[in-house]
Amino acid sequence: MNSPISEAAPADIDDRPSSSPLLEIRDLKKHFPIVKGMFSRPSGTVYAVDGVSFWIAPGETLGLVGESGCGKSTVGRTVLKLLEPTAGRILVRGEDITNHDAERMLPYRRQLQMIYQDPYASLNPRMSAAEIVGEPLAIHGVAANAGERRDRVAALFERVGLRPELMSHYPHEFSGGQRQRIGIARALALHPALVVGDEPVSALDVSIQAQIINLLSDLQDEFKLSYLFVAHDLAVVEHLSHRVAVMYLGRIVELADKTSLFDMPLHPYTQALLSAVPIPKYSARGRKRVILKGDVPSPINPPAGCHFHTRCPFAMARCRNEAPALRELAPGHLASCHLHDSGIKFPLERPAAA
Amino acid sequence: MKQGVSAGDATRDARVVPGSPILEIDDLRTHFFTQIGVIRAVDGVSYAVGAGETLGVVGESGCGKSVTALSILRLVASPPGRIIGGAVRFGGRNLLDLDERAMEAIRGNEISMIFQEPMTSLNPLLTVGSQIAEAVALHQGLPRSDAMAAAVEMLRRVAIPEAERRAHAYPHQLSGGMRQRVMIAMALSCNPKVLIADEPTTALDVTIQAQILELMRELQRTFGTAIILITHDMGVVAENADRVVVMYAGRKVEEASAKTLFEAPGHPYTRGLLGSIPALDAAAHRAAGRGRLNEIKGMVPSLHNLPKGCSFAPRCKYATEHCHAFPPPLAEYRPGHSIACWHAETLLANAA
Repeated sequence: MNSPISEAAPADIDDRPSSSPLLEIRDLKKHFPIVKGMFSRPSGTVYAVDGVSFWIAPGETLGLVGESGCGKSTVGRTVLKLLEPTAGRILVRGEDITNHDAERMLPYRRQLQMIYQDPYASLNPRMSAAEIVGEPLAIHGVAANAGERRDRVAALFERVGLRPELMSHYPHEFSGGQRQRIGIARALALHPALVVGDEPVSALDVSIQAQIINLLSDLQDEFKLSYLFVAHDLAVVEHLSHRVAVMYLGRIVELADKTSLFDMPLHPYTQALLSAVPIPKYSARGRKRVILKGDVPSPINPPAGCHFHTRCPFAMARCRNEAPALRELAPGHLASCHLHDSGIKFPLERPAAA
Repeated sequence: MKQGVSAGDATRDARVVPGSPILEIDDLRTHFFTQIGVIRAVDGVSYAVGAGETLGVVGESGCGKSVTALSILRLVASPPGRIIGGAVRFGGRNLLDLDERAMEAIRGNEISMIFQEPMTSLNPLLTVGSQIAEAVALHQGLPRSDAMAAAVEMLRRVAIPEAERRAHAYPHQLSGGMRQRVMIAMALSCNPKVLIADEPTTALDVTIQAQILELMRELQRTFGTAIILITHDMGVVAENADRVVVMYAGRKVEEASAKTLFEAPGHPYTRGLLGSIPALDAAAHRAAGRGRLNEIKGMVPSLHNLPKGCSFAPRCKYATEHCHAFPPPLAEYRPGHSIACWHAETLLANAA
């Protein structure tokens, strides 16, 4: 808990809306010990998530983007307490659930659901589609009897665009897109308030991806769902989200509503990420791009100071030893970068004094 | 073979239609003979690529884009796969007629290939330097020590820092982006005339993808390599290809210059694909509210049981009875713009 790299203790950020958020995460940390040898000696720590704070309003989608290993999936899992957080707090409608045991979590499990990336790995191959979708109803004793359960499963099937005749089929008989629909139907079975999607469309072909993205938007409008949408594809995140958080090596480096984020990226990493995404338009050719040098450093031994300084085209002396705090630079627009210490600099540039 | 080398530099635009293609595949058919029946993975595909040119080949999983590429180098596993027809013309010969020894002299030497996952194509037991050196020694007949020096030089060319030290690293000691650079170094070590890149950046993060694509463009400018870039990512194609071939269910359904394909696509499938991708640009995120993506209904038909007429007809909003009954021929509707669709003329006219 006393990590050597937590000098970036986030200031108390108070950018919350007047209505109370559905989910609030405060300074969440998830560290994994690395063990070696037959006596499991601890030999290091992966600082997968290292002090992350955000909130999600009812009916809102927060997109969480970043590259492999930045900790975004770990955030998704820790928020649902599928992983126990190392430190920090998780609040659902103001109630702290961080230390709830399995029994006290049960009512929250109904409200918090998850959709996974790989619909091949996340569905039990020995259960029929109807059993998979109906299982949460049985576990939580929601449907009075088998007949009612069947009716509700059939209604869910129809809602996600699957023909109810397919209910008795097994996962291997479905295509990737259909399996993802099964996963969505299962997540919706208990009328959750929040669904965490961990790369839910990444494994799908583009024409199928569009179908699932449209379905997720329709379901949000219909059921007033909140989404925490974890993905690496910025275009998809931009399409589905209201606000977007960008992660780099275990920390959020920028968080803003999507228009501000895409119009005025204030963190050099966000800017590089946006400019690296290939745009499917001929007119986008030859635009000016920031191409980053080098690879993402290891989360086992993250660089001191700002985690991004090893690849940052604007890095200054202080970036190497002083981690910038995530601060609200414009209304609702948070970024952690020393470039803006004396007011917003956009386009990004080094302060003259440095 | 050398006259077109300069075509690749400076102006990368619609102008690049190769006078003499360096590699040409003609009516290629690769089928898989399985227990459930014959899978017509590639069913009469033709395309060509010239020196210094990048040909983009796009399509979704199972459209036959990778099998076509594997067929060029005769790398399709047989059985169950078999190339049952067509020709692959390269250097005045039909590669399909060559014996295995002659093919070995071409693979990795005159035509190289890089794959999506470099970890599965590198030998985990050998250092990356010795793997590149092996290819150089084999194809160019250099002694070991010279080959090793050439390998280090190649690693430097693909911008691997500390190339001399990294040459002694094993594949698992390198990051994904670094491994893909090694693959590119190996593929280009014998200065091939054609590089086939099958989803070369799909497994990589976007910032690393940008580095690798930039590197490929640079090397193409230097060596005049013809590149066949196979990908499902329309963004990667839009930014890198000179011409584009769109495949669907084992056939080519459209071919055009990159500019035409993205600005005036003709085939309903191409239009559907372009409409179904959220685009990350100013116009997209300023739109009030969240627009709906233009989805293509249904899914790709199974290749052992293709519809009788146009393969895309069951998903196409323009499909008529004629489309369901007869497969449309691929025809050149505008100079350099071929489309396989019965309604192509109407669709092009309406868009103009």
